[in-house]
Amino acid sequence: MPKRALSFVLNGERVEWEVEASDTLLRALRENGLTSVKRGCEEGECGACTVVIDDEAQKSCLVLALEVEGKSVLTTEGLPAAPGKLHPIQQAFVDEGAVQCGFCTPGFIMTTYAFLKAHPNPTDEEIRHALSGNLCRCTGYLSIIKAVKAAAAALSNQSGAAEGGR
Amino acid sequence: METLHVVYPETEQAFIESLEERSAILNGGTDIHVKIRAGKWPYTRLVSLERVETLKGISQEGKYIRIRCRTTFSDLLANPLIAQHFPLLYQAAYEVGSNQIRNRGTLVGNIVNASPAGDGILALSVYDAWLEIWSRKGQKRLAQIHEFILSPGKTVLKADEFVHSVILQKPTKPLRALFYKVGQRKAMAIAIASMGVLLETKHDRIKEIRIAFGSVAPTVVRIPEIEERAFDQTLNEATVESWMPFLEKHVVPIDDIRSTAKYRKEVCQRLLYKILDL
Amino acid sequence: MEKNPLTLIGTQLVRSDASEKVLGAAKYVDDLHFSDTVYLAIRTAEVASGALRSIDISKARGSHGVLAVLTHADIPGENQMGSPVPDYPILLKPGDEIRYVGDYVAFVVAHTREQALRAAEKVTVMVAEKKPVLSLNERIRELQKGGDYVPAVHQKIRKGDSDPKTMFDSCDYVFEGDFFADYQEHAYLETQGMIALYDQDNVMTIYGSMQCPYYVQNGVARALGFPINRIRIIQSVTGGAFGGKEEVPTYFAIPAALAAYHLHRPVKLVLSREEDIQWTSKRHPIKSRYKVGIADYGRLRSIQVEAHADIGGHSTLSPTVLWRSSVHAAGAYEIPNVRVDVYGHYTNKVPSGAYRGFGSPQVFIGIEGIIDDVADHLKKDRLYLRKINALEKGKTTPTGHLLPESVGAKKTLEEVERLSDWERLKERVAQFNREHKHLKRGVGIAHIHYGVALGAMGHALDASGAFVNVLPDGSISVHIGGTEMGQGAKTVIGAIVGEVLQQPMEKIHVYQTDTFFLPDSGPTVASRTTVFSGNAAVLACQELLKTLTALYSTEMAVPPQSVRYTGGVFSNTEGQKPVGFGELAGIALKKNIGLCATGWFQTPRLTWDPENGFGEAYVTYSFASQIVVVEVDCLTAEVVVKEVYTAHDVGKALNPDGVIGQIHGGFVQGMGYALYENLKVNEKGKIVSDNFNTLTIPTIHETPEIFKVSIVEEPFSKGPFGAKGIGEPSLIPTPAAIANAVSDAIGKRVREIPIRKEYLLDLIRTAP
Repeated sequence: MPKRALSFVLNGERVEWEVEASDTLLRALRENGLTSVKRGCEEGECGACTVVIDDEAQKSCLVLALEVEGKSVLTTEGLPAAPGKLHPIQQAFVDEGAVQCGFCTPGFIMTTYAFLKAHPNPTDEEIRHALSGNLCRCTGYLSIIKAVKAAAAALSNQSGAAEGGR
Repeated sequence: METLHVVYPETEQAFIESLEERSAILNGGTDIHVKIRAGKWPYTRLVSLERVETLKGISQEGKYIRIRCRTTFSDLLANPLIAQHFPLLYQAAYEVGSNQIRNRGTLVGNIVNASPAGDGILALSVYDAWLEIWSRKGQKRLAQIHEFILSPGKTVLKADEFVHSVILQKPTKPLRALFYKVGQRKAMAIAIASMGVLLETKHDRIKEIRIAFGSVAPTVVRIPEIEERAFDQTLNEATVESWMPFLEKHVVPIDDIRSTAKYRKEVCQRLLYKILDL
Repeated sequence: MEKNPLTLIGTQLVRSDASEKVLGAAKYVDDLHFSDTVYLAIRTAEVASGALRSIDISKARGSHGVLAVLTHADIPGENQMGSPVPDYPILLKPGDEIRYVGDYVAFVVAHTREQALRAAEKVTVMVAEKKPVLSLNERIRELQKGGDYVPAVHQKIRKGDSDPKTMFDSCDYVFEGDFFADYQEHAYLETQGMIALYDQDNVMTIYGSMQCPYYVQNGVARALGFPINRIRIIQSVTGGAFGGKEEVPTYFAIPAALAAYHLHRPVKLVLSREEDIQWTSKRHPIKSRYKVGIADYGRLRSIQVEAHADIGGHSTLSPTVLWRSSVHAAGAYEIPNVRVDVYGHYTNKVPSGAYRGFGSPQVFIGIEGIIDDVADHLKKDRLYLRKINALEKGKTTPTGHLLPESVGAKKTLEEVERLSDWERLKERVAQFNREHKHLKRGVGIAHIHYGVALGAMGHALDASGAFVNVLPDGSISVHIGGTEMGQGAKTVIGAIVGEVLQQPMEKIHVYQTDTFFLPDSGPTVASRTTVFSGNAAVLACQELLKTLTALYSTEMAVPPQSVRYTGGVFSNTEGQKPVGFGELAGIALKKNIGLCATGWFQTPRLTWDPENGFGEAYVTYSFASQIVVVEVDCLTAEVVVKEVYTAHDVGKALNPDGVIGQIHGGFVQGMGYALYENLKVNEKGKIVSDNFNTLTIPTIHETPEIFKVSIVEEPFSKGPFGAKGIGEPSLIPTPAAIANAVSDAIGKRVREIPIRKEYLLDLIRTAP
């Protein structure tokens, strides 16, 4: 089966891959070493494979790899500003105890990333609505709600500081 | 899995030309990918709408609103025209799947999927939506949502046709709207039974009501008997109870993995009481 | 040596593996890659009952990409994975009985997983089908007929007057009721998976998602006919388990190991969600009948319980699970006269097995429901009735275990009373109900105990090791026999080591569990890890301190009895001649002194009479009380949990945030069981709700908005720093509390979980 060329921006860098026409983005990402993107159900229910495509949270098991041609894809690996330096959302998940087994965590972080970009000061109701597409079996979600709020506060401080500096 | 062939046209014209007899349109894909993986997808050729930017968007055309086929549920929620004129469509879109599904899934994809549980279909049903259907040869025709869907998964679409857009007429008066979905759980649920109601009252008397149920018959069903008789009836428990027999003919559910026919039938009757809170 | 104030234990700790998890760097089994890996698919019987006639693998063998098709003839060791009961062949051979749809017929290995799956479908199997037994009721009727049918399991408790003819004679009131608790699927987010490598030293090394590496080691050794010393199991980062990765991972390690043995290539088997739900164990469905006798204005006097569990096609852990059911069936109360019989019945369905709570949530719904009936009948407060019957120090449990210490039962009841503002809460709910016609709120309580660790029946497995190694730079590596599966074992063990050695968490690295380092430390189950691995770690650290003290004494010419160790610094009694821990570790290297130690903790002996089911069942018990408020939409029978107040006696919370995380997670998992998770089996014995679109676990949207936790600390003298367990007690009260709350809301007793809408609507319609 001939593979097809795919060119897109992955975590800020342009990449050229060869993929099968039938490859989902989930499979293509994992085969290329982006293993933070987890396979939990492969039918769009669990959200463990969530990535951000052009600022929108998407379940990568429901997207064909070739559909991201020319687009920008962000995964958890791409969030740190420097190696090992946690992004404020990642830091909030650590600090608020929002991580247990961790399998759902990258997906939650990516949904949160896109969500907070669009809703910098979310209400509880908005958080519950936006994150209901990500399943977690360990935490009972309470610490995840706290983490999203803490991340929102950290990000707004950060952007406030940046503006103040200008 | 059979070899999957996918084409990615970049213009409307190229898209129309790539439609073939044995191809299906990939418009979001939140249903299609699940079917492909389950081995329940008959087509091996897909034409993706992903790169056709002109088929996305909502526009106002006089007293009508046009929703182009690539418009996602998130697009609907973000557009003030929908919240203002079609609150029931807004409510339904709000409850479709999850955030990620709403970002990808399209209203037209939901219609063409033709599931009796389709939240979007239920909303369009009470608004008596029209669908603008285009053919490969350049012909256009209109079909009303009620005639468009024939049975689960079956529509009147011919092989060389596609749904270009949904056309909605803006209501001339404000109608109160209720979309209520009963699922296995509250969030991210497929309807076990759902009800859509548009209502206008004056001094507790019903001036207009439109009512539809989802997931309780092969297609979404409207209940004309109630809509006809309700005019000028007082909105109270006795009235609602008097409507229950009218469901009999239309609400003909089945047992499936999510629930039983018995529950569905009963819950539809009981959902009518929710109208009293509207 | 003097006592230092605690610096880590009981403080706010950062989870030690959280950073790698948020970065996406943690490697779960499917994220591990070895070159030349081949992939395995399992061909199952697909028929629930019958006799296997023949297997034809010729077509599969010729299928594209296939490297091998393995059948029963390819097993070098014993064709058996059933333990303790040998009723579970690895691969069926012609003539064998098929017991459920997931029984293995062949393993197909190919270059890709898709090729293996496609070829597996081409294995032709001839079966003489039999009508499967799919209903537990069918088995119960058989037992009641009194013929020669013998249930697979029978566990019993007898205490005081246990003669059903007389035991209720002295009671003023007798209450009876039937209850049913159905399946629950673990739904860990990471499906089961294994990679087997057969290369260096002729050792079979297996990486996989699991909670009990020693079970896997023993199971694989048996299948391959290898001595245990040639099987090495390394647990990969594990994405949730909840009991589902106790006995089950062995059933996937064996196929991978067999294929690696034959092909000498790395073999990967990671299940799809559908395979995982179809083939892996579930919580036991249990039907129970309760009869409870009351005297003295509400004191429990006599209880008789008969319970029947569906164990599925193979017995696996059912004898142990149902023993725990029997111990907990009479509840967390003092009752003089007890008669409990728990039966386990084979059916032609997926084997039931270990699941968080281990056979106890299903019986607590019975006793806790009846307690409410008693309170209502006597017109007494439901919380009060629990208080007057609660266990206390010096009282005996329903198995006759005299409790010498660590009984926080009553305190947990008092705590939920305080947290919920009990009297006002009841009034608030009554007010809401007066104001609403179709929405009704209800309050439910549950009070439970939970025997920590394996108890009298699992005594032989109840020991654990820890290996602590201090490196010349003062860093510390720790290996434990217990596993991290998300519950926070690495963090709590790290804190224990840090506390005893007076070193910060950053200096300590707790490794993924590897059977190479320690003797069989038993399973990571039964909420035993903090106590068992923790105690073992304490013992190892104490050894190290002895060595370091002796070294300091020699080096600094200070008599051993005058060595002080405080704040991580050795000195003499006056605090002079200070040498830091790290510095001393460096000196040890130069002086050829080994700084590693193994700690081995064995459970205290228990006196138990298995014949009569009487005695000391478990080393200690955790206790919990929970109050929930639910809202029932009486039009649709939809239920949401609005408020939660929960108190847990954990002995000592070593990592309080971790304890709270367990409590949150256990609650929501228990809530899913009570309200949303319907596992459906069709008439052919196949599970049809086999992915998350139909098996609906709670989302963030269903999580209660008000959630208050109180941690009660009644120290357990044999636990590390006084700790007991929390993993399972976090879930156990929830189904009962929710069932009671829904009953309260609708004015009628709920007798089934999950509380299906279809069932609840029937109750609502017929409620007074």
